[in-house]
Amino acid sequence: MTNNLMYFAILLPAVISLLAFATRKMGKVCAATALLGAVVNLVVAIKLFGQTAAVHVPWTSWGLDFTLRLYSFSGFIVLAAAGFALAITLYSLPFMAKREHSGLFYFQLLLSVAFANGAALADNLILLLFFWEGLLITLYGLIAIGRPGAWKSAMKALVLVGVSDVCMMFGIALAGHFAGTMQISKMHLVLTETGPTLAFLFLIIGATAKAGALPFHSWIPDAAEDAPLPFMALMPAAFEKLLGIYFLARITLDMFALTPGSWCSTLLMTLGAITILVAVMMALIQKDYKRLLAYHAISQVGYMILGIGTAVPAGIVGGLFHMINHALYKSGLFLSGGSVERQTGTTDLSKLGGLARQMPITFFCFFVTACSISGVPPFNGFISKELIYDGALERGGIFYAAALLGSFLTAASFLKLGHSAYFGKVSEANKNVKEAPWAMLVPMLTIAGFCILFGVYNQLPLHKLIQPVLGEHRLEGHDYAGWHFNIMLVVGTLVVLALALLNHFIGVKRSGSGIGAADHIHYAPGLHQAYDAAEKGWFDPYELGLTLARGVGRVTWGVDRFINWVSDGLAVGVTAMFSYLVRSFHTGSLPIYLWWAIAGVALVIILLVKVN
Amino acid sequence: MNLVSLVMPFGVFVALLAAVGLYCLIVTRDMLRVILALEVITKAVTLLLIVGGLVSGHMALAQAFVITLIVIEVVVIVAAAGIVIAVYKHTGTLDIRRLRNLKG
Repeated sequence: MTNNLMYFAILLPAVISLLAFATRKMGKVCAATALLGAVVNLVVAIKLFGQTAAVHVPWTSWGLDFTLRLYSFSGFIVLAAAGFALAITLYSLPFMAKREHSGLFYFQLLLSVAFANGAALADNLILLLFFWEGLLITLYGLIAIGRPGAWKSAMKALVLVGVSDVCMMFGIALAGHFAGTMQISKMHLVLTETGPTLAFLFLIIGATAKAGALPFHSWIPDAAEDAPLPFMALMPAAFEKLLGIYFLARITLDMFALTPGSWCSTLLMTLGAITILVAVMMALIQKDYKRLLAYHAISQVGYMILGIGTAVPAGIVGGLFHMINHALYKSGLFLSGGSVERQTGTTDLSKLGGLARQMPITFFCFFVTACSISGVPPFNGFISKELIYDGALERGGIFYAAALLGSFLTAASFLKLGHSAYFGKVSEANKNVKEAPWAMLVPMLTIAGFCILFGVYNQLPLHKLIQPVLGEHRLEGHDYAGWHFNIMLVVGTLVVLALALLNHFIGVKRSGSGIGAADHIHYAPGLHQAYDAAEKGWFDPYELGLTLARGVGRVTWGVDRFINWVSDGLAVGVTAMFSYLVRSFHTGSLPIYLWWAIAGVALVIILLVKVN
Repeated sequence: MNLVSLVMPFGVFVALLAAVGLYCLIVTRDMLRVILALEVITKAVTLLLIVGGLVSGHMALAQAFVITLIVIEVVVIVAAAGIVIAVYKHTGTLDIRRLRNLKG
């Protein structure tokens, strides 16, 4: 029964997505089909959750078997993905209603659900890769159906994620070679030898890039502007984080035994810390609602990678908890941005303001989720960040400091965002703005409710979802649920939050408006030049790659022109010169030809005589 | 025996005949004379074939070649004479220098 349900989890959304594709021209029918698909998927996911099962179907040889494994972790991911899929489908009903391509949107949304379920349940690396790449297709498709010209961003996403996936493919090949099997649960590699370490590094690139970490991150802010907004709440905020961090955790926990103190662990933590700081610095100066959120979607991945990279129980629990928390609050934030976009027609912060009075429920959801991402007690982000701080502090003060600085900048940028969008003066164009429809508010309120629930009653997610993943032996008898934190860490967090608030007031006083609250950091000496360079795309791997490709293209074009010149210019020129010389001999006069012939015969005779 | 002693004078005569024909071909501008010069050269070649047959002893083979050559010669002359007549009708002159309108 459970085995069949696992097939259903993959097949049902795929089949219903085809139905949605067939009815894509019939707006409401298609939307209803999508809603049905999301509900069915959630029912299947709830039935699957908490069970353990495995399917093993030998397929081809060379380790490529159809292997699914349902256990606490994959069940949790499938359940979370199903929940987000339903919330976002419901939200999309009014949001996508009058847009072009809404049928294609629902089709690809359900297809993404099918692929995500497959990737979470797969226990064979090659099977996992199949579902993983399937998500890349829908990623491209979902961005491309955004506003006109969105295919450029889609192509950027495809290339960046594709490059990282090639690295992952290489890592999978190496891991399979060294482990002798492609089955994830049977892999036990050690990080002391060169070969497995190389495999580990390549797999890490794939997993972290999927989650959106540096340096394969730069498509997310572009997609935020171009793609339909529910896509942002679905893929970069929820699915990609869930799957990327899920795979990262499986790499570090199951396939390889990452130990605290190994250089691989330090590398992961450094990657996490850099991701946090660079992305949050970029987020701070953004002047667009969605773009700002997109940079935070990158920055928060840093916390998860940092937490899992510590390889100590507190850090891993914190990292995984942060994954589900991030999916919650970042979806909630994007959805609030979507409400604002739908009701006012813009997400440019300089045109927004004073929406708190006009859209109180949206503001409430924004407030809860923003507090959550900034790590304000008692919301869920606070709990997971404290756990990550705990783990980071165990491994080195510098990582703790980086995470804390990231927290400060996160809080500062959300104060700026909230201030400029929801407070201040109402602009002329937005005088008559009303609250969003209930189908958009229900998912947002549900998500906000979960943000509060997972914070106040954190025993629920930690006991039911997160701690079973690590298992008793890895937890070493600890129980991280509840409210017993290191008092020093809590004080540190509160001081940082107070500093962020102070910084905000200084910024507002200096610039005179909410949107300029970060200007004194933006235009600080030294930072100013770095920001300018970043805005021009000097640090964007895609732009750098394009520049490189253009350079290579120019060189190869030159080589091609040279070869063309040799064949079409040089050879023809030499022939023409020679024929010009020979032409003067051809007068058409018979006597002259005869003289030539006589001379030739005479020459032959002379030669023959001489030889004899 | 007698015949073999005649080979040397015959050879000289053939060479002279060919030289006369060539000279005529080089200096003349009249198309009829070109035909005559060709005729003279062909006669030289015919004689040379006979001399060759005499030297090698294959007189029958030489005879066959000579007959073939005469036939070909006749055909060439007829065709050439036809062309000359046509050119004369067309241009009103036998001067070969006038036939330059096809020069590239």
